[in-house]
Order: sequence, then C-alpha cells, then structure tokens
Amino acid sequence: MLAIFQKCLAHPPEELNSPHAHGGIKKSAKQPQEILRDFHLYHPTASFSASFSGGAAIASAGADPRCSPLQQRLFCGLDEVYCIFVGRLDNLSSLIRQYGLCGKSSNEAVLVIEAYRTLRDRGPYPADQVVKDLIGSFAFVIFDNRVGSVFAALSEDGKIPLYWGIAAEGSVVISDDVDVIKGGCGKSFAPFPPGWLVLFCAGAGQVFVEMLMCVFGCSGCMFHSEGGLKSFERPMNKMKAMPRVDSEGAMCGAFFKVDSCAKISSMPRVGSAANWSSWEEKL
Amino acid sequence: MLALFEKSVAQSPEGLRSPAVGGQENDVHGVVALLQHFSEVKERSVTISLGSACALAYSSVKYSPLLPLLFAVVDDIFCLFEGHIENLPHLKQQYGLTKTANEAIIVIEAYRTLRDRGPYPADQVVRDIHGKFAFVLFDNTSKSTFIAVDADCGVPFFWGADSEDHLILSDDVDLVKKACGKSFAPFPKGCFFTTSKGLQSFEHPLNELKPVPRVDSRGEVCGATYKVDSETKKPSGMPRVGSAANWSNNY
Repeated sequence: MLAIFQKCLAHPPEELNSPHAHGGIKKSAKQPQEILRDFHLYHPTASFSASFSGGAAIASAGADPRCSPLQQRLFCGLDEVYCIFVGRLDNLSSLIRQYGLCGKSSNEAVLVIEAYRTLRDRGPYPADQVVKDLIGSFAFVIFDNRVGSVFAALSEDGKIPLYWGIAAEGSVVISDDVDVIKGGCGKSFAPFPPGWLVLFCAGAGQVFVEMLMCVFGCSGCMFHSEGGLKSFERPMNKMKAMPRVDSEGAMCGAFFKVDSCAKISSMPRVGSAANWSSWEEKL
Repeated sequence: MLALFEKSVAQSPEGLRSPAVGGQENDVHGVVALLQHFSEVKERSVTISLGSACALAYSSVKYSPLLPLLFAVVDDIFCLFEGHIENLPHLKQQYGLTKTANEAIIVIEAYRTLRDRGPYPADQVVRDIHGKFAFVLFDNTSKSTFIAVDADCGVPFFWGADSEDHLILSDDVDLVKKACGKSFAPFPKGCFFTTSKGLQSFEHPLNELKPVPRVDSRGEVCGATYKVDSETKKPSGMPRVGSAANWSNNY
C-alpha cells in the first residue's frame, strides 16, 4: 500500500525532515511518479494505482493469496472518497449497525469511508473519538477527492507497520512497505506513531487545518498549522522533537514527546499594579 | 470517461478493426500516452491503472446532472457508470442494498451476484436495469470485464480497437478517434460485452450478432455496427430430432 500527497494537499510536520536531506543525499528523495513506478515494479502482478489530478496518488498491491485475513488489504472508492485499509476490525458488525450499512456487502474499507463521511458532513464526535471506536489492529489512509483532505490513522497496538516520510518537493508519502519509503524518501521518514491519526483538510487552495492527534494513551497531541505541535493532556507544555537514530547512526526523522520543563506562555504573570494594555499584543 | 483493456481481457470483436490504418498527425498511440492526453485535456481527472490489463480514467466535471458519471470500487471490482437508472429503488431492494447505494454500487452488486451465484443469466440482469445508461465494469480478481448500454443507447458511448489491439471505450468520440483512427464505432445499442462470451444482445440473446461495416463521410470503412441476425440462432442445448430417432446417441 502506498499513498503520496503533494504539498498542496498535505503539509508534513517539519520534524520529519532529516537534516541530511538538504545535503548531498538530496538525490535519494524521489519524485512521486518515480515512487509510483518503483511500486509497480516491486509488485508486477495484481497491483493498481490511482492518480488524481489534484496532486495525490494511491497504489495498492492487491490481495495477496498468502496473507491471512488478519493482514488483508482492502481498497474502496465511493462517492469520490478513496480508502486503503490494511488489517482487521474486531467490532466490525457492531460498527456496521452503528453506521447503518448493510452487512453482507460492507467490508472494513467501506465502513471506514462511511465513518469519515459522517465525520466530515455531520461531525457528531471529534475525530479522535471516531477512531477510538475502531477496535482491532489496522492502518488506513483515506483521500477525499471532493474536498481534497487526507485522513490517516494507525491502531494503538501498532501491529501493522506503517511509515511516513517526505519525498521530493515536500510531498508526504505513507506506506506499509519500508523499502518503498526508504527508496522514495531517503532519510526523511519515520514510523507512523501507533495510536495516532493525522488529518489534513484543504480549503480554498490552502491547507488550513492539520491535526495530528493521539487517540489513545496519555500523550494526546494535536498539531495545528498555526499553533505547532501541542499536547492534549498538557496543552501548556511545549512538544519536543527527539531525533531518531537509525542503525547506521544517521538521523532519521523524529519522535515527538512532551517537554515537561518548557511551558508555552499564555497569561503573563505580573503584579496588579502592572500595565495590562501590552497584553493585547501578546494574544 | 475512458476505459482501456488489453487483448487478454477484452478481445475486440471482428469487424471493429478497419484495415485502413490511415493515421492522423495528432493520433495518440499507446496506453500511457492516451492516459496522459486524457489528464491534460480533462480537468480534475482521475486515472487508475491496473497493471497492464486495464486502465480507467474519468473526470466528473462537464456532465449534466441528469446523466451523471459515477465511479465506485468495492472488493476489487471497478465500475464506471454514466447515466440514470429509473427503477433504482426496486433494484436496491432486490439486491439488498442500503439507501446510500448509488447506481455504480448497484451495478457492482448485480455483477457480483451474477458472478458468484448466477441465479439469472447475464442478459436478464442487464434487461432488468431500466433507464439511460452505459457502464464499464472490471473485475480485478478474475481480470474480466462487463460492458453494457441500455436498449436505446441514451448515453453516447463509443468503442474501438487501437493499433496494439487494445479495446478502448469512451463517451468522448474525439478521444476514441485519436486513439483508434478509423477502427471505432458507436457501441451497439441493446448489447453487452463480456470477457468470456464477447458481444451479445440482451434483447435477443439467442440470435447471433452480425457486423455490418460502417462507411464514414469520406467513403472509407470505419469500424462496424452490429445487428441482430434474425435468421441464425445460436445452437441451443436441446437437440431437435424426430420421435423415431435413436435417443441413445445423446447419452
């Protein structure tokens, strides 16, 4: 499975860029068409790719007869919303009832599309609540061609390997095959954090909301394009990008952790006699 | 909309290929070039290539709301549907689908029923769909295709064979002309095409189809239209013999 989104659709977090990418190893970051071509070469039979003129491309290697139902790959496209789903959902039947789909023709990919559509059109629950309801070990990427938004998530147990990286020209590449990512992004990639989701919404030609949220666990995080990376649990503390070092000893993307010492200043602490008129500028 | 099938998936019927290979300067040859030309010409286009067997491309702008273009992919079955189904609620109930199902989903479900259970023959399934439509369906698991138009061909739909014997289908006649030169024709109304059985008429399923060469305005042979031959019938399963015949030969 492979998904490539150009800069106009998705802005990757800056920390994914490895510092070496701007050096002599820039050649290792490939253009999206080359990554797609390499993907087809890796999987010559039963692979397909869909390219969208807005700057996105999705490819999948199709049903592998050797893989068990626990690791199945599903692709679905309905009403200009396309989803690649890898893995399984344990509570599929109750979710199908919840979203009002018919049991026999609904698989996990159809359900996830329906969940995304509900989130987009009606938004009864926030995005992390929707993903928290999905129980199982899974990874999925949804691309909405009508709105131009991207929604990707990985389940908490992280049994499905999912990686994301930055290819040439700042396009985001998401894949479950590490070789494809390495070939396409050079050093600027990292494992997708398990238990997190990322949502890029485009509107009026600009990416105006990007949310990187942790669904489970205590380190809830949100990445907003204006505010930078913030934690849900500790919104007043800054997030720190800790560099990952791969087996070759080179820096390779980053982890994000809450820095309990550095706080974001919100309300200025001054005595009651101070001049509060300067507070307006800080807001 | 554009669909391109390789020879192993869709054998173009005889008569569609014209012997005259008069090429124009702006002809587009090859799968990749045709897809690229499509994405240049149409805005907001989506191209899907399934290995070497099949390529689909569509763009949903510039379609009238009465005959929209829909695309759906479920379970490795890809369907491009253009048009409108009149008995939509009846078919939804017949195939057990929800209220969110659109025409492309119904066609996919009908094909899946036909493939897996086959309660009715294919011509009956297509005859059950009333309306003005044309659809192209590709099943990636068995690499087979199913193409049909309605009985009156309410939607413009053309097909042709290009120089590498790929079958090209589109609702845009210029696109088909560019790819196939002279070897194209309007898709015959009241017919459907499958990988296994080729072109059949669903109105007269037992009669053979005969290619009738078309002559275009320049007087050159340009593909063929297919007419139902009311004289020749396909050999049916039951042998007709007199009652005195020796029936033991048949067993």
